[in-house]
Amino acid sequence: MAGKIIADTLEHSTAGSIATNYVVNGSAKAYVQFDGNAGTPAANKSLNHSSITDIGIGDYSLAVAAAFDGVDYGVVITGGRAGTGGANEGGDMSLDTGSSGTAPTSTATRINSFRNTNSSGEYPYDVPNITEVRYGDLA
Amino acid sequence: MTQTPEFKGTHLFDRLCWAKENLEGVQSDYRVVYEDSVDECAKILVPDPNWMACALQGGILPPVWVYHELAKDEAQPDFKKHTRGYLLHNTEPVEAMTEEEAIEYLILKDCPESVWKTYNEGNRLKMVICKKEQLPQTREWRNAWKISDALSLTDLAA
Repeated sequence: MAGKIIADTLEHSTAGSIATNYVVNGSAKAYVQFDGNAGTPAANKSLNHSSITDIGIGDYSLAVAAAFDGVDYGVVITGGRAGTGGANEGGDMSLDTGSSGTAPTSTATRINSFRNTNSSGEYPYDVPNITEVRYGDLA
Repeated sequence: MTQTPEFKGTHLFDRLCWAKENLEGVQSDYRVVYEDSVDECAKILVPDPNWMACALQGGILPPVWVYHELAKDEAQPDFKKHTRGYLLHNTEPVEAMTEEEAIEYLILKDCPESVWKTYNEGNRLKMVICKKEQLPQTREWRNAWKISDALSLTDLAA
């Protein structure tokens, strides 16, 4: 690969310095963005992902190509507003940790999206603009 | 066509970053529909466009058996951390695949082994590869989607 800078520290003229291991270790190692209420959800933007599996309403399995070194990596999930996005409703996203479904593996996570309303409580729902980002060490 | 650098021994993540910078994503029309439980609806696997570009390009992705080896390690009761990650990076990358070969690879990588090992056994199909146009275009009744019983193993044989 062309261009390589080897450095242990980055120093700003006034703001101070930071060790580059913060940058290397703190960077996301995978991300994917997709529309959860499309016919079959396909990735719009991604890095280090191999597939999305549509498991059912508000239920997706996301697989990466470069595996993590274990199963305890960090996952950040966000989703667009559910339903009409009225004042009394919202959306929730959750990572399936295996208590009632599928625990993460070094390549795959299973995530769920929900709609919350005052009248019906929380229930699985396909929300738009789902993003999953993973942090941690790769294998 | 963009030439793939000599990647053997390069970390897989670095190869994927190279691909993202240099290859155009390929949105495949193929979908893999499978059922791994009679009590659940059909699941639909959709290839990632950047991954598909890597598969078609060749020289980037590791052979699929590498993932199976890592899965074996992970299945051990005392598994904490991968110690054979080098298999992903040091094994000779696979050559360019056709889109159909890439789908077969992805099935072996991302579908449950219980599905692809026995997809053609039993009374009904557990897995079908189709085009996205053959699936419902909206998600109405999504949790009731099943592989049609009208599709039989005999049809496949023919």
